[in-house]
Amino acid sequence: MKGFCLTLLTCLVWGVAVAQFEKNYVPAPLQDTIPPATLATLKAKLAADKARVAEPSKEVSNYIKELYDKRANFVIDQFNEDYILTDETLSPYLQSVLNNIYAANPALPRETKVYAHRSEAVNAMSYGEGTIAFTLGLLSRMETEAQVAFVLCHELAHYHTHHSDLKAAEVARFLFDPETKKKVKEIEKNEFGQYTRLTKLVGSFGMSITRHGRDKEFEADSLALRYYLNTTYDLQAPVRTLEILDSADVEPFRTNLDLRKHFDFKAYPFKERWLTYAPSNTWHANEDADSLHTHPSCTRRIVAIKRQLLTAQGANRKAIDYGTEQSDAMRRRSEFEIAVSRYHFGNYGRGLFLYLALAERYPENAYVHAMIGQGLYQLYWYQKNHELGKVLSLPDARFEENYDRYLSFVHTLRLMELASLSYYYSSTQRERFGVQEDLLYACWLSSKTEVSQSDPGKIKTEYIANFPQGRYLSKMK
Amino acid sequence: MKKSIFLLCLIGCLWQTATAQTLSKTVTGDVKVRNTGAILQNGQVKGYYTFYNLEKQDRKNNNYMLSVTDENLREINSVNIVRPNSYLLMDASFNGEAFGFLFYDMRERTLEIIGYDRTLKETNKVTKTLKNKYANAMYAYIAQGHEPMQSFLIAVPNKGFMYYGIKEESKSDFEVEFYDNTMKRSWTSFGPDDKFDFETAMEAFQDEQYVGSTIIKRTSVLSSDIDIDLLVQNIGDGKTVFRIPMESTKYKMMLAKVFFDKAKQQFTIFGEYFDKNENVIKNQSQGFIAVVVDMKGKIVSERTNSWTADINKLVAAKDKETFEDTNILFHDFVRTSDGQIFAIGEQYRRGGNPMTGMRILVYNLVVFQFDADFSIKKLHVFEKDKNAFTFPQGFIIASAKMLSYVAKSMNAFDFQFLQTSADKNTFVVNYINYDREKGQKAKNVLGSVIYTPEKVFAVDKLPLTRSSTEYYVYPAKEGYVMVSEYFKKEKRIDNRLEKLNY
Ligand SMILES: [Zn+2]
Repeated sequence: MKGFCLTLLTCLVWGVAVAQFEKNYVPAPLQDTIPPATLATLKAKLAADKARVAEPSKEVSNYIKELYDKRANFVIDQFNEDYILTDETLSPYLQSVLNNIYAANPALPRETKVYAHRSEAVNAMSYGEGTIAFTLGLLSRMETEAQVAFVLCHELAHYHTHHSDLKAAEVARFLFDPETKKKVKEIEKNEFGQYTRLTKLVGSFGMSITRHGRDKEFEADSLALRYYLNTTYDLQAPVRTLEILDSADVEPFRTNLDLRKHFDFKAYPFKERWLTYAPSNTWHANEDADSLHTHPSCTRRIVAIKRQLLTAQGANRKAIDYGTEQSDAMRRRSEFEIAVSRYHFGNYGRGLFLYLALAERYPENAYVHAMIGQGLYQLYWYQKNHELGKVLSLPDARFEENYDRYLSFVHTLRLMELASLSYYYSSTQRERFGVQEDLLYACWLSSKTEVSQSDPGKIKTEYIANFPQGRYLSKMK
Repeated sequence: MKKSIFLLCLIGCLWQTATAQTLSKTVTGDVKVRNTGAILQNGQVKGYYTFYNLEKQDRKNNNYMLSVTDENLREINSVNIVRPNSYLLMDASFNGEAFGFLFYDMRERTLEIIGYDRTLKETNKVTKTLKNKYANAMYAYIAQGHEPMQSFLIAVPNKGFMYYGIKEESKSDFEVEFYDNTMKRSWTSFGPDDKFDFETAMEAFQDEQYVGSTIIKRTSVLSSDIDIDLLVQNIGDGKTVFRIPMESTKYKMMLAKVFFDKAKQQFTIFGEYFDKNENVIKNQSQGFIAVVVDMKGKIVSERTNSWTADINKLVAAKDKETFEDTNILFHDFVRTSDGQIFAIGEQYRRGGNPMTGMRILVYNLVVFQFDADFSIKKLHVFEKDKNAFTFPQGFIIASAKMLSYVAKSMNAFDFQFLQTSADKNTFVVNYINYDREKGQKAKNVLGSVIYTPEKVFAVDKLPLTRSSTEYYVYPAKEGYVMVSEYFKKEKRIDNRLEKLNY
């Protein structure tokens, strides 16, 4: 009986979560500059970090401090360039999970803060100065809060074992090592084979860094598990998280887009020619070498974690929280925000693909359709200026097939076809959804193309009448 | 460009200049040969190669990197090759199965052909010594940064490669070789031992069964009296199918292009024509001619369009004046799948004088459209800004026609290259319009004249105002051009594809 109730409850909860995204979406606000309080904290931390550096060699000390400066500036830039989300949903959610971990590990000083990061890559980073970034790509793949918690434990472990600081020291010591200096001199002295010998020297150091990096991953996992076991999260999440990371290369959305369904209009029918797909068959060398894994295989990490879990206590733990309203909403929100971010950073090609994929799952979402209309216009505009290459990738058989097909499709479109798609898509969706802010803007954009039969002035008037404080107002000139 | 067969007949007149410069140049000096190029298969771009010096290996050799990308500029593979520091990459091709690269060693005066499979694994290499002074001078001329006058290594789809060279033990007779996919020689043929001591072969077409070559023959290097033949050989054994003079019953031809109609088993030779007693490289032509020959080399039909009777009357009123004031140099001919032929040329006029320096003024791009039955249908004029080129001092060339040929070899014309789509329904003519007297930094436009699927012309203009030191435009996959920019300070090369608008 209990089982039945739980299933029913899960279904109901799921329904609620979906409803949030069914009809519309309001993107997270963009942070223009780093909040002053955050900046102050980062600066204070930087000063403290630098004060701690005590290498016997002054050169090495100075270089490490320089690296700390660079690291701090990098983090500040991440804020200023809008990569860090300071929204009211995703980052606070991550922070609440981090707080749970700290609460369960009172010995740890609360020196870190976590933020969602506007990247599609499946990753989390501990910058080393106290900031942890959790990518939207990873968040969109997290099935439970416990999985998020394990990732955070892992990043916390990196922080509290000073992995970033140690790496900085390692680089500095290598560069100012008398032995290195001697080797560089020798290379400079003899003009023959310089490139090869320099590559070898740098390469062997890089190898040792990578090797250390891999060791540190195991070390972080091991420590992370200790933090994690102090919480009440379930025992399955650690292994499952590593499995998710292991399959990071596999796109979550793999079915081919139904391009004909999206782009067939009464007044502008779909053209068969657009579907021509001939993946580059020039040659296929080096496919294996190409997919060289930069991250250590998770399989070995899973084995190590499992061994450690053998002795773990199963009592007093929360049940696996699959499909809770909160984690489900976070996942979906992340998927939307990835697409939002792609547009924001000017990658209209990838962004449009993601919105089309969203449209197949949320066909009634007016925002998604509006963004498709806007994206088509942007592609048209860049193509008109011969800059399409800046915002749209070239096809590549190494991409997931659905994306490669989509890229081939867009590249096949001629300028007026792009203009037409942008125009007919936006006007068709407008007939469907009526007045919606993002959609009105999409209509206004496409009304400026050569193929338009609408008056941009009229659309603008309508926009102002409906959205006197609209966020596109400044762009409609 | 590379296919412009007519440039070779100039070798005589450029001769002295070329040899003199080679001698005065230190071999390791700054050689301007482009080290990036498109890899073509059946006229379609399948990728690009880059050949550059990674480092000095020892006193005599460099460690070079040969890198190959696909048509979307993604690196496929790269190989290191250690060769003398006087090595230059002359030609590259891909035939669907294998790569062929032709290198020239300026110091040792040797040629090397290296074959690679499609993953860039070496299959074989062939070395040739260049004792022949004419052969040497030809390569040395290119090494100085001049446009190659022909392609040396031609891909024969899936079968192998044709090599066009000069026979060692001859004054300057041709040597045509066929190599299979593993770069093993299958057959060789030479220019016959006759009174024509200067006999040059250039690729005309490649098919699964036959290869065609254009043969230009002269009795002496300085002779401007030339004869042109068409040689068709079996790809399997090199046996001659036929060799005929490129002429009709009444006229002789120049600047001709050969189209093989596989279905009909016929060849169409299309080009400008002259009276048989006229000098084809000094005089202006009488008009255009299409000669159809069968597999025995026998003329099946011929059709002329003369300037006076057929062409001039099609000149639009607004273009009359420029047509009267200028001559036209035809760069290339293209035949679309519906049988139409298009002749692509640029208007030019001779300027300056031998005292102050000869100049050539280049005007509009013109496209002559011929029906499938070879009668002229329409003249299209695409206006572009005038461009002037001043020849190095000491150039004394009497005829305007001759001057245009020399100008072409010095890159004085705007025309860059022509690309036909794989289905042969459309084509694109690319030109770069810039003020040569002010250099690349001045106003700079890449123009593309596109014959669209709707069978009309569209023009796309792409401004090339860039911060780079130098740039080049290369052919690319259908509907694109590849722009390569070189930034001297950063020692960086940026390659990117630009999609054309039409
Ligand atoms: Zn880690």
